Amino acid sequence: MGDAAREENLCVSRAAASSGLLWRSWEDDLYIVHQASSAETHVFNGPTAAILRLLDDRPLALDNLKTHVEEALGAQRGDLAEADFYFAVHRLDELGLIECVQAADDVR
Amino acid sequence: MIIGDLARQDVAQRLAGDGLGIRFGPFNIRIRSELASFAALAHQLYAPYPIPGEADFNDFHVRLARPRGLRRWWRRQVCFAVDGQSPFAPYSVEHAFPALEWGINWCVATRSHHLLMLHSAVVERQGKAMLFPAWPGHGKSTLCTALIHSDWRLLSDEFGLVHPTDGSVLPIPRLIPLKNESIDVIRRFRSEAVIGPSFYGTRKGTVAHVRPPLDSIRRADEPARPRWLVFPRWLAGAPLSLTRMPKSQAFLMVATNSFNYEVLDATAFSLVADMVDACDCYSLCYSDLDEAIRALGELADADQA
Repeated sequence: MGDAAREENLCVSRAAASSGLLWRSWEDDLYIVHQASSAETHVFNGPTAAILRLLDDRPLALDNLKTHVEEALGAQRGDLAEADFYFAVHRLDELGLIECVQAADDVR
Repeated sequence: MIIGDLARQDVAQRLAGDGLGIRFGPFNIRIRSELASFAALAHQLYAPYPIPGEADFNDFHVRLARPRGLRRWWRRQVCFAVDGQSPFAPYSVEHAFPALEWGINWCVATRSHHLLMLHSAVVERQGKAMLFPAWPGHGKSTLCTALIHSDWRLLSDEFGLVHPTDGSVLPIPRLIPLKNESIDVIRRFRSEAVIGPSFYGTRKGTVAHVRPPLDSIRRADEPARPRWLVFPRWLAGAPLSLTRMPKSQAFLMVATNSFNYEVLDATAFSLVADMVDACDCYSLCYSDLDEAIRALGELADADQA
């Protein structure tokens, strides 16, 4: 899920491995997540955790996803820096936690 | 029956024969050695430890033996062996006792995956465990030794053994190997502490072993509930600082201090997360043992109130 997808904003993502995740969080807006498929433990910040949880519900186009993440975090539209958002999406893709699927008109 | 019920000669005969059985918390060890000097020290420092029954399962069969081949005649050396294999280079024969102690710890750390093992000292008061996960050199053993001579019970100086079914911490009150300056620090702190001879020039510098207080050894079958996670750091001249640590940070530090977090996978994740849930987490920086012990005692007292 690289720059091409970012530029065209065509990529639709969905959670790939979320059913095997164990979550814990405490008072400090960090999320500790165990991924059964890789036996790894990750630390995610609020936006990254929100991306993963939103995509666990349904596939979303990236621009749409960013808006939903901002809503989930109680932020204004555009508050979440694009670079941070795409970095988080790219990292989740690298970890095998989300993946690109065929874009469909109803989720763009 | 305890080791101290045997005459020194009996200990030497068992070591040279079928082996001397000894129980360290949840583990039964059978030790063989023909070194007379080792037998004398084992009789002295292991005296309060129980001897397992003849029919009991031995978790580890360990041995101190002279190397085979030419090396045997070239230098006075000794090899640590477990189940017939020698995982380490030979030690000087004068270092046989610390070699055995390190070797037994190695056996526990590499072969006890039925438990979650944290690299942590653990002490207990009123059934509540205080864990000190720490990297080597952070003052964990010195602080732990001072605490167990100040009304805390020793569960372990080295291993936080977490039972996977209920998250309790199991005692393994073994000898505590103090290193270098820590030896004199503890001698000055509590002159009544039972400390064995100093071994000079070992792979870890000068080492001397502290025998835990008798109460800790006798209560080696009493687990405790995790209540505090304290990450210690000794810094020369530093003022005392005991500050709350975010739980997510504590989780990561406990997980990375574990011997077998990756082996136990999701079970380890849940156990560490449950432990962090149940514990107040602190970072401790200290240079004065008395100050540190007073502060940790106040934590425990406040929890009772």
